[in-house]
Order: sequence, then C-alpha cells, then structure tokens
Amino acid sequence: MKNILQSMKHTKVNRYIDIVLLIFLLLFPLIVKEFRVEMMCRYLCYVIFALSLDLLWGYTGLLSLGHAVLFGMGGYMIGLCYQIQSGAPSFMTREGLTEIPWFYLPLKNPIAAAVIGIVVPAVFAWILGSFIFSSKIKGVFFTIITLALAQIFKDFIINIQKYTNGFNGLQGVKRFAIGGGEQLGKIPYYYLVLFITILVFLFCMWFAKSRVGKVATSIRENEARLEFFGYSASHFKILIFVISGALAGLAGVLYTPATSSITTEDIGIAASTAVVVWIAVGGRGNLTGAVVGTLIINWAQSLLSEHFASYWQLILGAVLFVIIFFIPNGIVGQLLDLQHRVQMAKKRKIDFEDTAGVGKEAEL
Amino acid sequence: MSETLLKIENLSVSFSGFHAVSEVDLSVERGKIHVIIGPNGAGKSTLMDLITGKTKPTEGKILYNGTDIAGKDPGMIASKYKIGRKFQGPNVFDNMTVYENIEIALKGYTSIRKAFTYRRTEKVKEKIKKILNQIQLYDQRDMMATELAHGQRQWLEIGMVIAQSPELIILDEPAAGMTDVETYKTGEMVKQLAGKHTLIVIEHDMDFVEQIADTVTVLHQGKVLAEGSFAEVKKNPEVVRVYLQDENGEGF
Repeated sequence: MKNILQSMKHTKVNRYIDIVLLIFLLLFPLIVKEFRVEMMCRYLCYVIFALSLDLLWGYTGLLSLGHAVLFGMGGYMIGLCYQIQSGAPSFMTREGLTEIPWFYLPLKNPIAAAVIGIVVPAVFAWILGSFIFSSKIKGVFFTIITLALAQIFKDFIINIQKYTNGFNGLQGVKRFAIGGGEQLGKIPYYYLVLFITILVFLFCMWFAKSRVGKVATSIRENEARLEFFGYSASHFKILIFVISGALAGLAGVLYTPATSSITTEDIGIAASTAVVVWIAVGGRGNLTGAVVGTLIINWAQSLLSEHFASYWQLILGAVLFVIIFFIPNGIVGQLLDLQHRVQMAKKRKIDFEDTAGVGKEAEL
Repeated sequence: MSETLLKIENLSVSFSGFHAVSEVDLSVERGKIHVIIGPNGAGKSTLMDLITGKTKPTEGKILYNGTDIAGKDPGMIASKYKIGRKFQGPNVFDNMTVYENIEIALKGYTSIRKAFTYRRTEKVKEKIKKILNQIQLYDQRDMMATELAHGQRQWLEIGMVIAQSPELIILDEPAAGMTDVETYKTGEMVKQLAGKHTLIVIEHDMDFVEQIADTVTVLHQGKVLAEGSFAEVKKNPEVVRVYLQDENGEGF
C-alpha cells in the first residue's frame, strides 16, 4: 500500500487528468444527447490533429502555421471518395469532366482512401521537410513558409474547382459505408474515433519517451549543441515532420465523415492558427495539454455561441488573452510546473535536514 | 614516455585581414592537461574553433593521431575523431532533466536507426550514473538543467562532454563565474579526467591553472608567446610584461 502511495506521488499530474478524461469520454455518450456526441466526435478528431502539431511544435519547437494543409489532405481524400461512388459528381460534369479522372480511381474504396489520406500528407511533409530542413531554414522562417503554404493550398483547392468543388467543399460524406453497405451509426463511430484517439495518444506518449522524442526536445532546446554531439538535426526534423503529417492526415480522414463534409474553411490559415491556440491554452509539450486545450476551447466556442450568439467571440478572445498572458505555459503546463516545484522544494528540505548535521556541506 | 596526441603545425587563420591565429605550433601529450592562457583576444577560442572544425584554417595542419583534421566537418570531428568540447558559458538543454542531458550526449546513438533501437539497459544506466557521480550531480538528476546553479550547469556540460567518450576534451573556461569553492572542485574534477582523456583547457583564473596544468601555453595576439610548466611560464619576463600591459588581464 505504501508503495502505491509512493508511486502515486511521483506520477505526473497530467497522467491523472488523462485517466479522468478517458473515463469521461468513455461514458460521454451515455449521459448526453446524440447531437452532443456528434460534436464530441468532431472534437476528438481535432484532438488527434492537435497532438500531431504538439509533436512538431511542443516537442521539437517547430511552429507550423499551415498544419491544416496536412489535415485537409486527409479530409479531402475521404470526401472525394464519397463523391465518386456513382460516377462523376455534378461539380465535375458541370465543368466538362464526364469521366472520373484516373488518379481518383484508387479513392473509390473508403479504406484505400483512408490509407491514401494518411500517406499523401506524410509524403508531402517528407518532400517539404527535405527542402526546408536541408537548406537550414530555421525558427521563424519555417513558420512563415508554412503560413504561406496554408494560403497557397487553400487557393489551389478553390481554383481547381472541377476536381474539388472549389470553396463549396465536399458534402454528403458517409461514416465509412463500405461496399455500398450502411454507414456506421453516430455512437459506434464516436467509439471508433475515441479508440483511434487513444491509440494515437499512446503512440505520442511512447514517442515522447523514446530517444527520438528526446532528440526532438533537444532540437527545441539547443539545436547547435546537439549537432556538436554528432547528430544530424535535419534528419530528425524531417522524420518528425513526416510522423506529424501522417497523424494530421489521419485526423482529417476521421474528421470528414464525422461532420459529413469538408470545405476550404477547414484547411486554411484560420484553421491552422486555431489549432495553435488550442495547444497554447492547454500547454505544449506534454500531450495532455493539447487534448485539454482542444476540448476546452471547442466546447467553450460552441456553448458560448449557443448562449451568447452575438458576442461570444469577444468573451472567448478575452479568456484566451488572459490565459496566454498569465499562464504562458498553458493550463496543464502550469499544473506540471507547480507539481515539479513542490516536489523539488520537498526534496531540498529533506536534503537539507540530512546534511544539516554535517554542517558545512549545506552551505555549498 | 609520453606520446603526442595532437600536433598543430604552422596554423593560421585570418578574418578579412585580421590574423586571429598566426603560425601557431603546439603539441599536446596524450593523457595530460594542457592549459592555454592569454589576454582577451589572444586567439584562444579561435584556436579551439579550428581544432573542432567550427572555423576553417587559412593555412597549416592539425595532426590528430597523425591524421590532418584541419577543415573537416564539426560533426565528423566530434564523432569520428572523438574530440569533445565544452563551450564558453554553460550550453546545455535547459528544459530537460540532468539525466536526459547526459543521456542525449551518450556516444553511439546519434543516427535515427540507433535512436529507435536505443534502450536504457543496465549498462547504459551504470554509465550515466558513473558520469553523474563524477560531476557530482547524481542527487540532482531529476532536476531541470535550468534549475541548477551556474557552477552545476558548467559541470553538467562537462558531464555531457564525458558522455561522448572523447579522447580529447576541450574545455573553454570551465570555471568562469564560479565561486572559489566551486572552482576548486572543478579543478579536482578535471584532474580526474586526465590520463583516460587528454584535455585542453582555456582559463583565466591563475589559481585554477596552477591547480590543474601539466603544460601551459601562452597565446598573445594570435601567436605562441611562451610554453612550459606553470612555474616556468610564470617566471617568463615576456609573459609578465604582456599580462601587465593588458589592463583587462587578471595578472599573476
């Protein structure tokens, strides 16, 4: 019993939050109406998205302001999948495309489309990362490039209307109806997304603890020093960007069926900055922060807009300002800090009492 | 019989006409502590930059175990030729624990493949523990590097350099900003490293130099002014003159 208590004291505070959240999310469909479950399902996709950026920004220190591009790539693959089930959709025929273009054919199977929706952003991240990181572009310049990318990508999707339906986006996406069968119910789909979210979270936890994760943190802390130890930081950065891209794609793949649509609003600069704000509020570099921030902000957003239809954005903006101004580490970051400080103070007290008898040592 | 590990021949570098290091000859014996002193701007740090590949020389050779490493890539010099360097001022990973700082610096796991297959085996743990004891930070292993005192941060970086298992360790002002007690402790730490490792130390604090030096080289305006044991160098009239001239110098 004493051992359990002892280990509980050493467990980081965010692990408790994780467990409470997990139980809450598992029970959630039992306590609320179905449309709330649908909302939570969407937010869980955002959680995966936020986790993917947390690996890149929180752990590696690379702030991307265009991460929704990778998310959108995933989302559009699934969206397109359900557009081409019965011949060329109207947005294609209207522009004179009577046949489904050959490069869309592999998307016809939802499972294949899901896989492509993960692989394409990963490959894209690999190509982009290879260019950016090999040419020693660092810090804010990476951020600026990704910002420009978000705008370019959005414009591109709007411009190739006959392939993407432009800014109207893709509607009527089904929750993984395979082989013409029935789509998944809202509740089963919620649990499917929750299950994948848990897997992603566990993967991120493993990653953070692994040596690659530690190298990522070292890149954030002091890249020049790391390279002097013989590491090639750019290789690691590319790898992490690819992993992050695949996870963002996965989030998009799950998101589109959850809302049954995807539009250019989900892939531009606004969407990319939103996820940065979620992580900033929750706290970056500890995973739990990304989850907490995403859920709090999104729920706050929808509940506020239900009750204060006209000025909810003002309230939310003020709250965000206060949080970022007063706790720059984010909610979970602040809690972890507090716990760490208390532990260290206790330890110092014990050390002091141990050495107080010896006298001189304590002064050093 | 002592043997030469590092032999520098006629090494020069100039930055747009300014000769930071010119025609320097230097040889460092294996297992010894070689201290380099000199007034500010004498070219000490530049010399270290040349050895570690951070700066490319305009002329001359740096023979390491008989191979010329002048102008080679810093990463290669660190890993292949096993030269570790502690920079001026603590240069550590602030928001990581002391333990993680040492762990990242461990030699032999720098490629992506190795990073994936790395495990905290008993052998690795034992090695990290040994280093932490050497630098007297074992009790602080779970603290963040940023929470350490200045002196302890310097030691942490020395520990990180040791973790690379280098043959040659370069310490750039390891005792800078330390209290007298810390400086003395650092000196003892450095002395324990000699033998297994070879050390080049840049330092201003003369008590510290006296405590650790096997050989002292005095640099002045990019050139070697004198070389010998601490006692010999101390008596050298030219060295005394240079140090008295230099108002920033600590003097003897």
